[in-house]
Formats: sequence, structure tokens, C-alpha cells
Amino acid sequence: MSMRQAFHIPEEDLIQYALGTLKDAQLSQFTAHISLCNDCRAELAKTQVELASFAAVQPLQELPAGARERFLARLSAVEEPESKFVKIRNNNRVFVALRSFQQWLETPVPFRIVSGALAAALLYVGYDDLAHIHLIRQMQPELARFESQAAELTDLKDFLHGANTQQISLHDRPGVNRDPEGHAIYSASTGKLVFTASNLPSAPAGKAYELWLLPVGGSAPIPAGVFKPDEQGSATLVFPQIPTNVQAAGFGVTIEDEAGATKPTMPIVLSGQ
Amino acid sequence: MEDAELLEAVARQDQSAMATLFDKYSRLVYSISLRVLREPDLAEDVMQEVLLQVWRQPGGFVSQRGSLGAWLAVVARNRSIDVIRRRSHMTPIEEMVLPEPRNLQRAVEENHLMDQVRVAVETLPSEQQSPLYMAYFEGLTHTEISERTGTPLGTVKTRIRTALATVRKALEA
Repeated sequence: MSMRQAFHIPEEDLIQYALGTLKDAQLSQFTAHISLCNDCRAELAKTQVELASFAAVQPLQELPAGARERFLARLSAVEEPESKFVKIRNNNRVFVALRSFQQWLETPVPFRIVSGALAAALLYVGYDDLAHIHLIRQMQPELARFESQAAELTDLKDFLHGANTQQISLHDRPGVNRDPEGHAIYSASTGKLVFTASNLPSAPAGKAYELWLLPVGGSAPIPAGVFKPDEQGSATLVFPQIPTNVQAAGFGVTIEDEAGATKPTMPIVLSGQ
Repeated sequence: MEDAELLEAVARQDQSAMATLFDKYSRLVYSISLRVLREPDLAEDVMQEVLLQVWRQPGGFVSQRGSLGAWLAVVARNRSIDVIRRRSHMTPIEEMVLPEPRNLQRAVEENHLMDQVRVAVETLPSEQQSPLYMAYFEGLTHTEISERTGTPLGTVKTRIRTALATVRKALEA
């Protein structure tokens, strides 16, 4: 079993990917592959640096007169993010209350009476709720970013899991019977794992394949997901539930009951490190 | 000052560090944008935006994972191509810059190595240099280059690939 992808994007296509000149359909397909393939990612990074080097050795142009001053003026105009101290101070309830009270004292008397009554009513409703609303509003941009990232990950996961998603292994001699093989991409720190397999025979009735993470140090194998190959013998496991920070010495695949097992049953069908 | 130190200072909103970063990279960023856009005002706008992005989000680039110079070059080029594409309602380039162990800035400082790259690029046969230039600075697809120059598509691909292989060889020398 290899920890790498079985096929790679041709160099000419990687160059076009780096140049951003691929068609949308190819772009999505290659992005999905690159996100999973260390080799293609490394090759793409090299290509980007080569392109950047090509650009860097072209004769440099002089900046227009005053460009530096214009930039520095714009820099000063950019709103500086709040310092940690200011953030903590502004989130402090006492500070918020004092500042609000000070602002209230500066308002004209009629407004002060109305706002005073409103403030009393709001206090009655509960200051905590207001503080929470304020906090939620502050966090909204961050939440939106997380939502967007989560949606992208969900898309990728749906794509890899999708019933209509095909897995095709490319070989120099198509049609020749191939041995079963699997490919695992694993990050111990996050506990994230993507596993793909191809050329697997169907599991016997009532049985399924189970992937095992073999920890460094020889402790008990950790179950990392049960799967059944499709008609072409391909299967994918995306982000199965496994603990974080477990360094893997390798992975193995066995045949188990459909419900999965807590200990692997011999023989090991696929293994790799 | 090393790029990592500069970025740390920028993260603390140190304007003098940002000015140093400007002095170090603004000509590179501007030159790339100008080659793509051919309009000094637009190129200066792009240069400002790219460098302000570093100011606003210094964490967007992790110096340990690659070269700030290469990152800025890629972002400047892609932003500039996007300006052209927005005019013609084309799909913007996905801004994807990947970590790369070789540090372009260090390479720039190591004149010998960068001179090798320069010589390699300058001595590229024009039939290789020209399609690479059109692809990089004009954002043309291989097919468009083939149509524009009347060169078979396969030949365009081979020439660009060969030109980049020469750059790679010079970087690894």
C-alpha cells in the first residue's frame, strides 16, 4: 500500500494550473486531486517558483514618482486593528458600562430621560443577553469565514463520497489485471485521514473491509473505518473518526463483519507504512 | 532584516517594518503588474493592494513555509491578470500559493544563483521565451498562444515546459 496517489497530473497541465489558464471543469478536477496528492502539490509549488523566478529576472521597472509616499500615506489611513489591550478593555463590562454612562451624561436632558428609562428597561431584560448579542455580532465575520471553510470541506467530502463520483486509476497498460492497492493520506495532529483503494474484490456476504491505523510503538491497532468497494473495486474513506495525535507506523486493511470489529482479524489484505 | 523578522514586525503593526518591506519588494511587484497591465496607474494600484494585503493579514503568508518574494510575485501576477479578466468577464484565477522549500528572496540575495537564472532566461531561444512570456504576463492559454503564433498546440506546450525546465535547472545548479 502506498501513501501516495496512484496517478499524477501531467507536467504540462500542472504548468497551466499554475498559470491559471485551465478550463473550469479541469480546474475543479485538478484542485481536488492536488488537495490530496503530496507529489502533485510539491511539483506545483516548484512550478510556481520557477514561474516567479522567470518573472523576477525580467528587468525591473522604476516606481512612478511619489509611489512610496502614496503607499505610506495609504498605510497610515488603513484602520489599525485593535491591540489586545484595547480588545480586552473594550470587552470589559465595567468599561462598557462606564463609557455608556459617560456618553449618556453628555446627551441633552430630554433624550437622557428617555434613554434612561430605556436603559432601565433593558437592564430589566438582562445585561447578559445584550452582552451576548454584542459578542455574537463581533464574531459574525469570523463565523462567516468558518462557515465558508466548512462548506468547502463539506463539498470536498461530498464529492469524494458521492455516488456519482468515479475513481479512475490510470496505468501504462490499461485493461491488464491489477493487484489491489490502497493509498492513505494522514495527519496525526488533526486526526484527519483520507483513504482510497482500487482493484479490490467484493467482500464476502455480510462482510466488509476495515481500515486499521497501526500506532508507532506497537500499541493496539485503531479501527479507522469500514468500507465496501464499488463495482469497479474502488473505495474511499474520508475523515473517519479516529483520535488525534496518534503517530502512524502504518495502515492495514482486513475483512471484518459489516458492523466493523474492535480487533483486526487475520489475514491482512493490504498493509503499508 | 530577514523576511520572517519583517513579517513579525508587520504583524505588530510596525509601519517602519512595512516601509522596509515596501523598499525590498515594491519594484518586483510593480514591475510584474506593469508587464501584465501595461498601465502605470493600474499597476501601482495592484502593487498597493498586494502589499496592503501583507499589512492587513501578515498571517496570510507563513514565512517558514516558503518565500515571501515568490508569494508576492505570484499574487501580483494573478491580481493583475484578474484585472484584465474582469474587463472581459472571465473566470478569476484561484489565488493558490503553495509552500516551496526554496527561498526566492535568499536566491535573489545570492546573486550568483539569480544571475544563473537570469542568464538561463536570457539565453532561452526566443521560440521558448516568447510563449512563456505570453502565458505568464499576458495570461494567454496554450491554445490562444498556438492560435496567435500559428504554432501547433503540442509545440507550444513543449516549448513552455522546456523553458521552465531550464529555469529549474538553473535554480538547482
